[in-house]
Amino acid sequence: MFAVRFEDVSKVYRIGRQRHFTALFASLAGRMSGQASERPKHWALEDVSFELQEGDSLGLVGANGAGKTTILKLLSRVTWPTSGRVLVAGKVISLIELGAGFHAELTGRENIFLHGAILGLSRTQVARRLDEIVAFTGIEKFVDTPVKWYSSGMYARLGFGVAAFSDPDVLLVDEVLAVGDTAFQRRAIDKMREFVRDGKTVILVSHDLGNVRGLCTKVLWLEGGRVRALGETESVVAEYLDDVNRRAAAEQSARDRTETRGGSGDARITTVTLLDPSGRPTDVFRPGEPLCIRAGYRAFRPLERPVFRFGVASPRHGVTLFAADSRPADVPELVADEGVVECEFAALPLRAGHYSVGLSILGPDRIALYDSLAPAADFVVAAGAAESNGASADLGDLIDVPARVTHRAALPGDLARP
Amino acid sequence: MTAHAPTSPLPASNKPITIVDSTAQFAPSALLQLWAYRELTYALTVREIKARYRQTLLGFGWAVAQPLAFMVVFSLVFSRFARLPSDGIPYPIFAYAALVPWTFMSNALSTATIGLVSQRSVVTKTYFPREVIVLSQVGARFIDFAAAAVILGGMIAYYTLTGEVTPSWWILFAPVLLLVEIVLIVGASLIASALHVSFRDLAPIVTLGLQIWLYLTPVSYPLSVVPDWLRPFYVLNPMVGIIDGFRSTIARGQPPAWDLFAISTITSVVLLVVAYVYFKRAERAFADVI
Repeated sequence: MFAVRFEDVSKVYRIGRQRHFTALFASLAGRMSGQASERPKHWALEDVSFELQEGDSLGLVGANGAGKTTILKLLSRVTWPTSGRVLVAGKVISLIELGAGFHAELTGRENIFLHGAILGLSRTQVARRLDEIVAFTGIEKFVDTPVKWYSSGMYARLGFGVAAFSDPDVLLVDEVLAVGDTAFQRRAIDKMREFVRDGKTVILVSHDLGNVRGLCTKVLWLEGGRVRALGETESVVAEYLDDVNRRAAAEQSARDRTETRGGSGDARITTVTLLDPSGRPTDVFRPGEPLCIRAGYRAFRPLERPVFRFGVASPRHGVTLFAADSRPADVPELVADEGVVECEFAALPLRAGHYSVGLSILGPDRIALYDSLAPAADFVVAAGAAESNGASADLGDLIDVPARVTHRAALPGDLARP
Repeated sequence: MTAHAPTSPLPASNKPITIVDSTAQFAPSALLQLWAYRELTYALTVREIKARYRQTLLGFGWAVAQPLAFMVVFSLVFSRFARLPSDGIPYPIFAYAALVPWTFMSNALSTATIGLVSQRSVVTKTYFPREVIVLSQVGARFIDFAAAAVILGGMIAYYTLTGEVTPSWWILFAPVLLLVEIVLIVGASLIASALHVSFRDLAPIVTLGLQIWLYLTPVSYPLSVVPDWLRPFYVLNPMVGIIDGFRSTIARGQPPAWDLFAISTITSVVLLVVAYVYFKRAERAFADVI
């Protein structure tokens, strides 16, 4: 059944200077003479349309300022659209900021009632669920302590608890899970899953794509206030990640390129290109695909059998993950002027992420260093088909090594201690 | 996803559908909405009071201390030093009967003016009719008023025993005056708080204005000392009828001056209606500019 609909919704904010009292007279005069304010406009949302059914859970992703929070604010009627309209069925409860309505001097119990009232609950409704809320938030011992003495985690738990037990039809969640500890985060996510199972609608804003993947059935990707993509979680998240990684790589390479040149200068790497299996230049690869690095160089004096070294590193961790050297047989006895070397790594055992390529030219003893360039190029491994082992990319590991896990019933001998 | 025409029919749902669109109009349904949020008004009022007096030694006594202190100072300065007449009743009850409703108005208006901005974190996070905040601020000051009025009752009893004051049934008219005063306070607070969201200069202006207003209202002196030529303008101040009415009905046992009462009532009601319509129109922009 219908839950939420945005119909060509746009929201314009006027930006610029804070208004002073003189502006009151200016705006009155302007209104009388029919002139509009001249402050610049910012389109927080532009022609956004989508519809959700009960039981849908929608993840909102996008860069800061893309309009994610504006969508939540429109749904919770904190702000109104400039044009278009928003339709919501049933009660909307917002977790935009946990404990926004709390008063520091009041006790946990008093704040539960206050926060409940702010969320539109009656005293009796709150009283009925008080024990549940207190148990869920785990603040039993402190329920009669003023919340000013609470830790930020307790504060957040209390806020989530009241909202979670306020029986919403549509629950809005904005980055609030970042405050609690891991155990609480898990409990909060379980609670949200329960909502979705019960046919409620959850809309989640999170930069933690793990949470989005784990909770949302649909994802809306916003860019500059417009819908960039809307669809099934996996495909939109993958698309979004590709984009984020590509941008990060571009930024990173712009930042790093200058300072990492080393070596004697007897030779210089002049060009570096990454090629996909069909030989086209690219900077996006899929896990398991071959990576071909093509480098042009110029030698400023004749060099005897130099060694070309190619490495792949994780800039985030600052480690080289794997590298390859040219063998003597791969290179002419004497090189001079310009030449091109290519290195192909047969299959990238990498998880989705951002990587860089480093290159160096060494002497035949592999001690003399003529040139080194790192990072010489950047590339992105996009989330691909199923990984070759069962681990999920959220672990933060880098290398995907094929693995097989087996299981069988224990035999008597297995459990005997030596 | 298809685009929808703005007039597309409502989708089917077994739950009430809320429409959030760009039309900002005052609707009579605003009053129904407000009624639905009465529990929140109550909760915020209680919160105001609890938070204000918790951890203070005197606690609720502070609600009474302010008019009481002013009464002592006024008695000294205006009665003893300046020998101001007090309509034939003892000056302390003369002053206090006016100071209690005055303090209510003054404190309510000054806290309600900055009320929306001080509740910024709630205003920008959750929806409820924003006048709830203004009403709860006025409500909290009303509780202060009630506490101060208890002392007023004690003083009347005392002066009745000494024979210096003779109360009458007109005292029962005081709640009507109180109602008019609340209408005036709520109206003024709605406008002031809505303007304060965009124009922060309003807070010091209200503070200054209240100080000047005190001297343009017969609180420390009787209405009878106002020169005749000034009186037609002087009585346009709606607080004149209210303060003088309180004093007449409570301390002097006489009916209020009906012409003044009429001016106060009409001004207050018109102000409240205008203020509420303005407030509901301005309300939508609060979260965006606050």
